[in-house]
Amino acid sequence: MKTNNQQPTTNNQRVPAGHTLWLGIETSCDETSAAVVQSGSEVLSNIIASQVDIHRRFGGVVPEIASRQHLELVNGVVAEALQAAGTELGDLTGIAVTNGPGLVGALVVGIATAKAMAFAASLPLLGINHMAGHIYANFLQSPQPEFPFVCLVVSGGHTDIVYMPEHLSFELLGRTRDDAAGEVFDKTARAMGLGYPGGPVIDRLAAEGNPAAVDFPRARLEEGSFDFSFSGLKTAVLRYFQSNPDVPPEDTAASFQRAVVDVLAERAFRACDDKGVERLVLAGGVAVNSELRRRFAAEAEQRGIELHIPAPILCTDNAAMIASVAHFRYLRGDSDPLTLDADANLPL
Amino acid sequence: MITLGIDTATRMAGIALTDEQGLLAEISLQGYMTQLRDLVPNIAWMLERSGLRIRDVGLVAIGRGPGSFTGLRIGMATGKGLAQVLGCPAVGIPTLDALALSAVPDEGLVCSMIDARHNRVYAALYSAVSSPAATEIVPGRLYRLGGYEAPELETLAARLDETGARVVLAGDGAAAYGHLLQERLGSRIEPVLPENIWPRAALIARIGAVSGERPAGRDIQPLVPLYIRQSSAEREAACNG
Repeated sequence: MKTNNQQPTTNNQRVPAGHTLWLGIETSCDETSAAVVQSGSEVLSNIIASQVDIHRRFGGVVPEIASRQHLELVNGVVAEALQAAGTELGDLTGIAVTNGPGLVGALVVGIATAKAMAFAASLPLLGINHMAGHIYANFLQSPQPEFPFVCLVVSGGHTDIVYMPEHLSFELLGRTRDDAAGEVFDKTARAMGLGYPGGPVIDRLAAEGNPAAVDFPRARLEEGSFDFSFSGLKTAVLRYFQSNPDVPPEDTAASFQRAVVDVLAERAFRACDDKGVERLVLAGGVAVNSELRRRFAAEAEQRGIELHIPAPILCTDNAAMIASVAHFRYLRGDSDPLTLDADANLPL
Repeated sequence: MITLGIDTATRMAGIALTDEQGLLAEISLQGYMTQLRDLVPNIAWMLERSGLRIRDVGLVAIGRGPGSFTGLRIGMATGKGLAQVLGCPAVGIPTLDALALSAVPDEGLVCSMIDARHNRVYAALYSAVSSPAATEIVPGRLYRLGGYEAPELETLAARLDETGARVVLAGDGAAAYGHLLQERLGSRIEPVLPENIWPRAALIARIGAVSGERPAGRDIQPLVPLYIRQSSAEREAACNG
């Protein structure tokens, strides 16, 4: 079977020597995104078509609808990303695409598009891990974090503590044993009748409430573990909300949010201590949460830890972070064959 | 002009290259699970073995199904991605049309049926003869009567009964459920021939080459499968008002 591993055949004049220019494509959930990034750090364009308004009436992401939307949007989003960056296909070093983890039906749209484009344009192809992408959003702004560091990745599907001694080296220290943090926000918001997506609505409501109003349980796991468990908290909040209809929902939301952030902060800073590192990096959609950002900033300052948090637009799903990972993998000599497949459960 | 045909609506994925003289190359392979993995490498291999480059392709014709939602999106995203880079037009061709083209009799009708599972098929009815209500698919050869539908088998049997005509069956839906139509309507129903069970990318390419539509550039954006059926979430939302 012939595969497309050759170097770009075009004479690349736009990009200075030693630099790269990657087109990233991301369709793993409900955002259709394409971006052009120079040398893994400079975002030339980052187009994100969000489907959140379409999924809102279903109270969550509907995979089949997300997949249909991706197919309708992806070519236009790619064209717009190239145009906004002032880039021609021939200028590119290669095409990078999220190949997992994510919704498999959504992933295949981006992967099929990227493979076809890479083949037709004779460009190298790289399949990129979506969670690595979230972490590398931190390399899209300055100052970039230096290694080693501990990273807390919090999103709708994942809650991971990762230790990175160097580029592309991921040591998983802890993960959620049940719901992801973002999932708990969504489920709690739905149960409280607050709508979808849960993160932003709870964040807004909590700003008006008293976070000390209710002392919700913080799951205690065995000594030394960096894992998370949020299902007990979720159940406690739902029970409290149902049996205390007169308590202002602002107070319930603020107390719930405080409980989640407490647990995330305890694990993340303890991991820094454990690894003896003085740098902590946040990543993923839940890192947009204002209480989380405030709390981590305060505690990092108090402990003398250097904290990196991507700008909110780079915390949510986007293709620039995918193109950033591609740069570092390309420098390492990686390329993927045109047989690249989707892996809904791709590990870091 | 070289046309690249792609069809991934059913378990049999197909790709083909045609020009004005006819077929240049064709590959059909079974297996839903491998379509994403193998589609582009197989296109590359087929071109290489034909002494062609992807830049030689002037039209991409993609099967729109109906059929497997994910399978269709793999084929359509691939075809649209190729057309976007090549700057050539891409056309979407209903897979039911291609099935009918291979089986249509000179007299009587052909009913293309793609298995939609749970005693349903995606189906459309065709004739080789033009009539005022028919839609032309291939001039002088294939005309569609009515629309693309996802009927229950009882409904389809009643519809075929109404035509009063001899009906040839085609497609994997006919292989799965054709015997039920025969039990109901007797010898007027001709069972599907083995060679007419699976759609052929060569016929997608052929119909694409004669179709008048030539969307290119940004106009390929709206090119999507013939889903016919809504997602289950939308169906439930509709039921719940």
